[in-house]
Amino acid sequence: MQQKETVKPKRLDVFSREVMDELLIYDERTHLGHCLNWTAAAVWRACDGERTIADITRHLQAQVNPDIDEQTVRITLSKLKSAGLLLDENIPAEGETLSRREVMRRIGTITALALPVVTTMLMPTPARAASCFPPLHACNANTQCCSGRCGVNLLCL
Amino acid sequence: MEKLYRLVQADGFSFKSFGLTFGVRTNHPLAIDMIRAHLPPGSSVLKVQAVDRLYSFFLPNSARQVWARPFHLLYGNAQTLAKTHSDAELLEVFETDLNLHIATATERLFFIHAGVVAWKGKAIVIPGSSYTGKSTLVGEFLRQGATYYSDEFAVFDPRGYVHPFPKPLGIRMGADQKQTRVSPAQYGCAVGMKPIRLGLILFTRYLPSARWRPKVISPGKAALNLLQHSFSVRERPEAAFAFADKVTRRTRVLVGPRGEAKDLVRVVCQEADLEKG
Repeated sequence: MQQKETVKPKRLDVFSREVMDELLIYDERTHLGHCLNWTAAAVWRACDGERTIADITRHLQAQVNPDIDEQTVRITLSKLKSAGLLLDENIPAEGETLSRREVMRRIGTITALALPVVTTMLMPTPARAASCFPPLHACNANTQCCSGRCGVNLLCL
Repeated sequence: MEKLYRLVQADGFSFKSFGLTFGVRTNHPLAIDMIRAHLPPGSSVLKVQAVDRLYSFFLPNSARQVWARPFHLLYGNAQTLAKTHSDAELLEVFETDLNLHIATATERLFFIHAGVVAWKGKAIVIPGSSYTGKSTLVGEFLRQGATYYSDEFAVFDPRGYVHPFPKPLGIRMGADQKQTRVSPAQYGCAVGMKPIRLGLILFTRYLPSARWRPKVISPGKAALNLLQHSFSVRERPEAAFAFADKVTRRTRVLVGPRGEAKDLVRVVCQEADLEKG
């Protein structure tokens, strides 16, 4: 007899904004910006800390797409966990090292368009966003360097 | 600041730029015209009691100090920004710091690090970090007849229109890739004077063996890519994300490496001409 899974994934309480069927998320602690496609966004929204993985699957089958299976949810949770968007440390790793083809094979009937996708980018500081010198370039002010630091030897760090 | 008052007391002026006020003072009255030449486009000189940021220039008096090479100094408020033997370098640091402060602090407008040209009445915005070939691409668009808006900042207003910021182009030349200021007049092109609608966003970088075969990306990914070049995303994330959403939701966004600039420019201009026609 298998033990009943009790993990109840909970999403991070962070700023988010819907952009058509995608979701943009910004984490002020890490300055990371994320873009979730509709599959990943639906799973993330369902992670309220009250639902188990099986509950999330049933919820999404009823509300979003009846073809979503638990494997899809697990792979999505793994991606969300890697992106730092879930609080629960006990979420099992699933599919993190799988190739896209293997993920598609495991997900089964879900079309390629519905594969969960989480894109993550670091949002820049003002100095990093500006025209700046790369490391080891001559400088005489911190604002000239991409790193924001002009070393004592007048080379960008 | 007390020390600064003793150092720098000759002449000065205040000006407004993109809704912010700045003060400049210097110990050398002849430097005023030189400093004014490095103000952002559209700045207006006016008298104010208090400013958002104060710049203090200390230039050595060469008639009195012939036995040494004293430093040129620049302060932003009480912070030392530059210490150099060259007034050209001092002015470059001043311009960089001033532009960075405007791009970060102004609340009504959104600044993106990008080159901007106008083609058939719409803006083509080319966001990019340093050394990605942005200015080279802008220069090639100008040779083909585009109107110059900027090679440094795409300035968006709340409607999503792009405003001109036509400072001289900074083209990297030579083995050391040092930036040379090139006036738009050298390209024989028109310079933008009014805000225009956005037509296209190009995310690209030069790779010697690449061919221009761009992909269209989703609005969400386009917004995230745009914010990677924004100056105020960490300071005002909600406003920045709202702006990026608005801009990318209804604009074509292309992503991909490019080879020679003229190949990309030819394709983009032809497609824009076909759309307009």
